[in-house]
This record gives sequence, structure tokens and C-alpha cells, in this order.
Amino acid sequence: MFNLLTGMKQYVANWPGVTVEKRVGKLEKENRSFKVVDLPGTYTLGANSLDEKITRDYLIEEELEIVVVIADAVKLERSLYLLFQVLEMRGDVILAINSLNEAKKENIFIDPEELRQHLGIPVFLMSAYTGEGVKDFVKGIFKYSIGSSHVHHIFSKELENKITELSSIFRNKEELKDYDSRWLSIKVLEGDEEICKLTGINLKRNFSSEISQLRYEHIKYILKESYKKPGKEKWGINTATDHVFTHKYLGLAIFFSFMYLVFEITFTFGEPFALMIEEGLGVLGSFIDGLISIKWLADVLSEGIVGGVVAVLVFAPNIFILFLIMGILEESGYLPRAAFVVDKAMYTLKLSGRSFMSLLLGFGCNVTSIMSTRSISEPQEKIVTAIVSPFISCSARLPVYIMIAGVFFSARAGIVIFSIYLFSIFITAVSSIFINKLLFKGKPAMIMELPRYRTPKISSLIQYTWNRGKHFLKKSWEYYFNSFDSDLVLVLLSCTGKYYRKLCCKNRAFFGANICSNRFYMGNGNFIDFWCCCKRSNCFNSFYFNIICTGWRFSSC
Amino acid sequence: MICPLSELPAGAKGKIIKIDLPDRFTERLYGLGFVPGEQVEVVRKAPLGDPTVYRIKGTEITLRDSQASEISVESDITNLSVAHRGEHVVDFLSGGYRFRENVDRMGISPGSRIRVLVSHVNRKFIETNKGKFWLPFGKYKKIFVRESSYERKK
Repeated sequence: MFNLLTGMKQYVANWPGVTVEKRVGKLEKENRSFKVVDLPGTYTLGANSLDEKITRDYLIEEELEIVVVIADAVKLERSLYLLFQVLEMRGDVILAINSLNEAKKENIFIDPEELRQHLGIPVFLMSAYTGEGVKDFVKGIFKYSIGSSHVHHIFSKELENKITELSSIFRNKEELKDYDSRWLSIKVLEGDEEICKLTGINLKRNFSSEISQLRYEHIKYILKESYKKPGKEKWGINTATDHVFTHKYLGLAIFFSFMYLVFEITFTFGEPFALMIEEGLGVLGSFIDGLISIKWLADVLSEGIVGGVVAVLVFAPNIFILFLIMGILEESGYLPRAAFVVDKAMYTLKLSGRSFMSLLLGFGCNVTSIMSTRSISEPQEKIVTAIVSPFISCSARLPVYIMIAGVFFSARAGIVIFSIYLFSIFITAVSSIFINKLLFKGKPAMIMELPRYRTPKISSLIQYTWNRGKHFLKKSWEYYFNSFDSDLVLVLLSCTGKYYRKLCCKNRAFFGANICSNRFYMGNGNFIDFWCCCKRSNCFNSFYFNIICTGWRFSSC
Repeated sequence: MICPLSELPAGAKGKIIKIDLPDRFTERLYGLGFVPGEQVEVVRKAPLGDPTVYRIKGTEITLRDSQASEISVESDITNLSVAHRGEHVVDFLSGGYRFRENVDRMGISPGSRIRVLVSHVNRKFIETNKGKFWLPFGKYKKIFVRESSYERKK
């Protein structure tokens, strides 16, 4: 929707609550330009979660010309609940009923004229997916940008009396001049903590349940004439697909095969591209090596700079492919189902089904694992998953395990490696519980909407992949150059040294980017490197692993 | 009968009576349509038993049992384990194919009438149109009944 208006490339997921921060764009037409602000999608305007709070604060505090509430045509009743909450705050609202294409598929009939009369605000029908009705809507924004207030007295007499009573108190208060007094009174009656504190009025009784009931009753009354939905369809494609994907046994099997596919495709499809990058830049490196006759300078350039770039770019194909697959899973609507299927197992670790996928990816590579947590919407879960996922033993560590196990426990190498894996899972579980205990309190809920299934659109998949992949490149770039700067002296020092000439620059780039690829470290373990790596890499995991590596290195020397 | 939402089996419907959750959850639940008086349907449980998908106002919402147990609903469906002696109508069976086939042989299928004659803690003696049977706990806890019209008149 936002992209349609502003022509910007923002990814829109098939998962409610994807925008967690507001985004700003520009809409220009006929010499007038609008600043368009995309606020987080919410169900209500309480102040309980971050996205709700951002939206609400923005609606209260900013000087806005017009507010557009985008409703879902298929779930209009619920969308109007949000509309009424916005209408309680301000009158300059336009209602845009989106997803018209899907409503048509389900034979839903909406009468915008009837709605307009009841609500007293402009109503537009449109579909951002097919582009239908968007032009009229844009025209509408320009036409109706002069606001008018519209108050709906939808509550019971008893409540309306209370509202008027409270409103008159608030209207006389100087410090509350900026707020709508009716809205303040409704919020006080609802027992909203923030507003109660602001106004200093705390009622003994909480009317929130009655108020929301009355809102819905009024919505039902409005929709009676303007909204017609055919009788319940018994067995649509959506229900049938859901039945299979969340089936008692089949659901789990499908879940695990999908996870395996994600894993397999990410690492096998990415491999040739990674090799190409490595080889290609390797040629460039040796070319530079041949060009410059000063030995140390050539080393710094070819091994340090080119090698460092390789170290970062080598991960790019994996990451881009991962995000493409994640995009498909998310866009199609499978991801919430996957989260639903394994939620219970993860809930014992105080995580949810969603984080399972990120952790599983960690067995391939911790970098992709941490990157994939970006699409977890609950902030608490995102943080915990990102912190614990490096404990999952990634594939890059396997060669090290094989070596250690071979040297020390040659007879029982298999069991040792297996138990290292088990131990890594155990540590992940324990640290997840520990971090949750330490940082967060209360029972986390999983109040999640299962969206309708939908065919992914290629254009939005490309946007999704590029937006997230780009972020990875940018970030690792910054890390790489930062670490390069501060360690330049050390790099030069070690480059002149006998032992550490070759790979240490590359190493530093690796750990500077906080990538725990210990196999590179293994090749030339030495104290300076070890020290820098631990200093740079801020996850304990690689720290403890570096100790093991160094210990082994010294003993084998 | 009033019971927590989490105790309704898949397929059952109930009317929300009260929500007893912290404010941060109730507000979101209201926005999703979970308001007192609204009809909610249990769509299905997750493969591992928790969470559960509920349908309300045409949308499917997942809730964990720890939240659903704080939402009380009114439903005319009762688990046979808490049903009193007397006549009941079987509403549905929350078991697999084998279970349904098994109890069907005793004359227990959705819509059939059964009469609870003796009620012990771990077994129940019931009468169906195919005879009289003892039902062990493992079986009767999977059977959900409605009060029959006969009892309602009383």
C-alpha cells in the first residue's frame, strides 16, 4: 500500500505487524506533495506493545492533515474496531478498504456508499495487490485533505454520561488542551494506565470490556446493510491446506521436510556462487601480488584487503538465497503455521516456534542464523534467539571437531563429535532459559493471526531478499573496515612476522565481522590473533571455542 | 456450562463470558474480536497439543493454553467425565478413526442418545440403544455430550 503510494521499495509481508518502525515517503501529484508516513499495523490503539505505542503517540502528537485507516475487506468487522479507536482521537480520517480482490473471490459484497453515510467519512474500496481502485483513492486523499471532526456517540447512556462528565473536567485543564477530551475520557474509563497517569484520574471500575463490546455492536449494526458475506464455505482451499499443514502427524513431517529443504537449498545452491567469488577474487589478489614489488605492501593489499573482501562476500550467496526462501515461506503464509506446529516444544525454552527455524539454520552457519532472526516480530524473542543461536554448533566447526576428536579420542571420535553437538544444543537451551529469566519476566503469549494463504509475488520476493541481503553486506562492510582501521598497526606487525604473515589479516577481517569461522583460525593459531579475535568477537561462544583451539594448537606444536 | 476456553475440544463452539488476563493481552484480544458475548470456535490444536487455533469473527487466531485457560466461555457441550447421571446426546468424539469405530460399535456416535446409569471416578456405566456398557476413563474423557431436551425441560 505504502509502496503503491510513494513508489518506494519496502517489503510487505503476509504477517500482521511487520512494520515495527514508521517509514516516511513522499506522494506528489498536481503540484501538491504529501509526506506519507507508514505507521505500524496494529489491531488496537492501546499502549501495550511497541508498535501500538508508536502508532498511538504519532496520532496524538503529530500535526497530521489526514489519517488513512486501511481495513481488510475480508475481516472488515475487526478492522472497523481500529477505525473507531482512531475516530475517537480525531475526525480527519479516510477509510480505505483493501484486499478487494480477495473479498471478491469469497463473494463478499461491500456497499461503500452505505458505510460513508454511517461513518461520516470518505470510504474507498481498493486492492493494493492488483492495483484496482488505487487511483480513485489517491484522488480522494487530495480531495478530502481538509479535515472535519466526526463524533460517534455509540456507547450506552450510562457510559455517554460518564464521558460527558469527564470531558468537561478535562476541557478546563490547561495541560490537557492538546488532547481530545472525549478520547481522554474514553481511555480513562477503559483504565488505560498511561492516560490515567496523565490525567490523574483513576476510576475504581474498569469499563474496557463494556466499551469494546459496544464498539463491536455498533460495527455490527453498520455492517448489517453495507456488508454481505455468503454463508460459511465448508471446505475451501485455505481450510484444506491448513488441515494438511497443521495435521497431527503430517504437519510435523511437512514442517521438518520444509526445514530440511531450507537448509539444503541455502547451503548447496549457495556453494558454487561462493566458490566463484573466492576464486575470482583470488585471481585478483595474485594479480596485485605480482604487480607490486614491495613484499609487505603486496601482502597487505592482496591478503589483507582483497582477502578481507572475500571473507565477507563469500557469505553473500548463502544469505541471499536464505532470504529468498524465507521470503517465499513468509509471503505464502506458511511461516506462522510452522511456528504454530512446533510452538510447544520451543515454549519450554521460553522461545516460540518461530525461533526454531533460526536455531536450526545455525547448524549450517551462525551468520545466516542470526540474520534470519530479523524477521521475528516479538522483540523479546528476537533478542534471545539472536543471543543463543551462536551456541548451536555450526558446520564450519566440524573440521575442527574432527581434528580434535581424531588426535585425542581416535577410538571414540564419533561419539565425541556427537556429544559435542548434543552439548551445543544443551547449552543453547540452558542459555535461552537463563537469559529469559535474567532479562524478561512474565509468560510470553502467542496471540498470532494465521493469515490466508497467498501466492508469493515475484516483485515483492525480490524486494524482500534485496532489502535484507543489502543490510548484511552493509553491516559486514562497516565491521570489516572498522576493525581494519584499528588493527592496522597489528596487521602490519604481524605481516612482518615470520609465522603470521599470510592469513592473519584475513582472520582479523573474519572476527572483526564477528563471524565465528574457526577453521580459518585453526590454520594459524597464535597468541596475537587469539587476543584480537576475542577482543573483537563479542559472543562468548567463539571465546570459549578459541580457547580450545589455541590449547590444541599449543599442545600440538 | 461455563468452562475455560482451553478445555473445549477441537470443533466445539462457545460464547465468551469473561477474560481474566493482564491488560496488555486483553487489549489485543479485544482488537481481535475476543469480547464477551462473542462466539468462538475451536478450530484445531497444534500437533503437540498447544497452542490452539480459534476462529472468531471469521479469522483464525492462535492462543497458548496458558492464555486460553483465563478466558471463560459458555458452551452447551460437556465432557462426559463431568456429566451427571441421566440422558445426554453425544455431540462429538475427540478421538481418532480407531476410537470412533470402537465406540460406534457400542452405539456411541454423534447425535446418538446415551444414558449414564452409574458414575464412578474411573469408569461409567452407560446405556445406549445397543445395550449397556462400562466405559473406562480413557474412553469417556474423549466423549462430549449435550444435555438432552428431556433434561432441559426438567
